[in-house]
Parts: sequence; structure tokens; C-alpha cells
Amino acid sequence: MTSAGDAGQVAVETYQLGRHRPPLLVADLPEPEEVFNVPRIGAKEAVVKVIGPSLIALGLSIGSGEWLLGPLGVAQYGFIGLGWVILLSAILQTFYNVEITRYIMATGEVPVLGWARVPLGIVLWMPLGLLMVYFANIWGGWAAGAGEGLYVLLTGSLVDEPSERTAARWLAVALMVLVLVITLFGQKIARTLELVNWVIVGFILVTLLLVDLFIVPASKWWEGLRGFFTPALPPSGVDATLLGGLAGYTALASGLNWYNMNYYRDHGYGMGARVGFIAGLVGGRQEEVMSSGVTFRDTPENARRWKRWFRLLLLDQWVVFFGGALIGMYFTTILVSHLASLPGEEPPTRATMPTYAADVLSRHYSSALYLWALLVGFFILFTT
Amino acid sequence: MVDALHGTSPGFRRLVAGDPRRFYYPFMALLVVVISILIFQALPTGLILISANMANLGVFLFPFLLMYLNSKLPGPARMRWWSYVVLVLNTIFFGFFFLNFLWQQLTDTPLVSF
Repeated sequence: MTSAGDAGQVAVETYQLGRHRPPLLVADLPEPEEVFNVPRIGAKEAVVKVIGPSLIALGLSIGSGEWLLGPLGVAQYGFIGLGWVILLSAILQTFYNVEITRYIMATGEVPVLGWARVPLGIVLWMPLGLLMVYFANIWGGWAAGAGEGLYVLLTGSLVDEPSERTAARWLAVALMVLVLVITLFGQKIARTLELVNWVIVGFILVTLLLVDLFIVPASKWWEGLRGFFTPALPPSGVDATLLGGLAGYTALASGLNWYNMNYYRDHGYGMGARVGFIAGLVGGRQEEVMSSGVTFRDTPENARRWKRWFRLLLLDQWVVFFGGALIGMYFTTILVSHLASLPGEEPPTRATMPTYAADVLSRHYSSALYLWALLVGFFILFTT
Repeated sequence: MVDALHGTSPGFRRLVAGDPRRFYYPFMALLVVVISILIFQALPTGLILISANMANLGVFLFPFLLMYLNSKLPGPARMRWWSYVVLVLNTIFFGFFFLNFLWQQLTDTPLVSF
């Protein structure tokens, strides 16, 4: 670490991490209690104040993987093999997320700026990272799927004809504009999204559980559980694109998870809490968002605080992200697998998957469940 | 994108006069336009399958960038050896699925048949 100062300015410690970007400022880690504004982080505080950011990730991870790809795969090929892929994917992604957030907690910088610090990063890794994220997400599958769900909700008719498909796509466009409008009014964007997700994710998981309890036979619950925890290769003949999609979209977005982890900075984890207000001290200019990060001194006190933050992060990731993602995948796959086994029913296809559950439920159970399935499908894709 | 530009370009910071939202919202509007065009190209599930497999591509790069960055952190924050192992496992696991998907796209048969 070095100290630097101009005449008339406060001398500040700095820490050069990597290349191309300015050195990080140095300060002490805050105590978690300081950041979350509670006298003590106990079980209740941990739940209410701390694990919020993971629900953003979870709100996105209960998404197309769980509602579309997982059920599509399992209904077509069974649980054995695919369940194991799902479990491994969720485990590995959780470890990966922890390492991404390690960087954010230690520096207050978001990963995209971290990529710029790696040699060649400013001209190569950072732009490449951005390109990959946009290229992966530009296809609009979630909007299109939500549009289809909304179309069926509004008209009562499935999307079979080309004209219906066109109408559903225009609905998707309208939904995206709605999302844009919603974010315009979000004061602190992360906090707004969190609150909305608490409600929606809670509704989805609770109602899914209830529907499964009433509809899905015990044998199917057991079949699903066995499939998740039985090491096995994927079944023969399984489509490589579906398999890759299932692995990639279990939990969150595998290699690209880092683009969703900014919330840990916004939520004040570790040095993320220091990034907002220290900006005013250096150079005297007040900035809302610092252009460079802050790290901590290697002292016994900071080492102790780091351990506390890291334990909170592990709690957050393993319980909420990992646990929630597995539960989400489990509830949806056993439901659709059961529906596909009902008399006279075909397994879902790529074309029928977005509204498959609603369609089958309407034929064998009540119309209330038809409506519920459409709502859940819509919420899942819309929140993504 | 906003974080990247704001963090690395003084020109960008001047342009938005310290308020990233002046870029963020017009940029989002542009994305809505582009995505709106793309959603007319294929079925929703097909679009999602492309996105999902593109996510796997990321493991060939980002775990290694993380290894570099996290090895440079202050002592208490650095990764232990098992974190390096886990990151490599991520690359192997998701990387396999990406290559399998890519091979199927190019040759109509998967790289590995189970």
C-alpha cells in the first residue's frame, strides 16, 4: 500500500490491484451491524436485512430453467441423469457465485470493472464480458414466453396459430416497455426489485408447493428426489442443446452469473458499504457512484470482520440461492412430469412448453388451476 | 454496461454529468427495440435454449479472471486452494455442455452421445 496526497488534500492510502485502472483506496471493513443498522446480527436480522440480495438472484433463477427447460427435459427423458446434472450445476454455480462476491466484498467494485484490471482487461476482457452478456441475453426468450402466457391469460386460447403467435410477441414488447417504465420510478433500483421479488418469489414457491402437495402422487416426489441425488449419466438420446440449456439455466446463468452479483455492492456487503460516501473525501467532489473501489488493510480486526462477512455470504448463497434453486427446480419438474403421465397426455415440446402446465391442468383439474399455472408461468418469466 | 463505462471513461462521466441514469434509460430503450425484433425470429423456448447455452460459454473465461483478481486481494480475503479447484471444475462441467451444444449446432450430432 502507498500513501498519496496533493497539497491541501488529505493523504490517502492506496492499493494497486491489477493493471489499467486506478489503485483502490484503503479503509477498514465495516461491521455488518453498522451496514445493516442493527445492534446485533442475529437470526432474525440475518433473514430480514442480509439475505435480500440473494433473492434478486433467486427471483431470476426461478426462471426459464425451472419453468421451461427442466420440466421439458424431465418430462421427455425422466429424472435419472438429468436430476444429477441439475444438482451439480447448482452446487458448482453456488461456489462460483461465492468467489465472484468475494471480489465485490473485498473491493466494493463490480466484476465488470474487475475484468478491466486483469492484464489486457481494459481492451479485451471487459468489452468481451459485456459482449457475452448482451449476446446471451438479447434473444428475448423470457419476454416472448411471458407474452405467450399473458396472451393465454387474456384470451383463454393457446398460442397455436401464426396470428396468435404474432399477437403474443407484441404483448411481449409491451411487457418490456412496462419493465422500462417500472425502473424509471425505482428510487434505488436494487431495493425496488428486491421488494417485488420477495412477494412474487414467495407466491410462486408457496403456491407451487401447495399444488404439488394436492396433485402430485408420493411416488413422483420420491422419483424426483432419487433423480436429483443419484449419480448417473444423462439418458441416452438426450438432445445436446436441451442438456446444455438445462445445465446453464439451472439456478442462474452459469458462466455469466457475475453480471447479477452487483447487488452485493448495492446492498453494502463488505467494502461495498464504503464505496458510496468515501468519494466525497478525495478530491472534494461528491459523487453518487465511485468510479473505483475501496479495499481494506490487512489487520487482525479486519481479518475478523472479513470472516463475519464471509459467513453471512455463505449463509446467503447456500441457503437461499442454492436451496431455493433446487426447490424451485424440484417443484416444477415433479409437477410437469406427473402431468405428462396423465391419461391421454403427450409430453411437452418446445412449442407447447410455455403454457403446457396450464393446458393439461385445465383438462384434468379445475379451471382455477389453469389460471394459477398461467399466472405463475407469467410471473416467473416476467420477473426475469 | 453503465458500471463499466462510468468506471473507466472520464468522457462518459462528463457526458452523463455524474448521473448514470442519463445513459441507463436510453440504453435500456434501445435494448427493448433490438430484443423486440429478435423475439419474432423463433419460438420462446428456442430463444431461451440459445441464451442458456451462451451462458455456459462464459466459464472458459471468467473463472480464470477471478483467479487472477482474487489472488491479488488483501491477505484475509484471498482464496484458498480449494476455491481454485472449484473454479476449474466449473470450467470443465459447463464448458463440456457448451462444446457439446456447439458441436450439435455445427454438425447436427452431439459431441458425446449418452
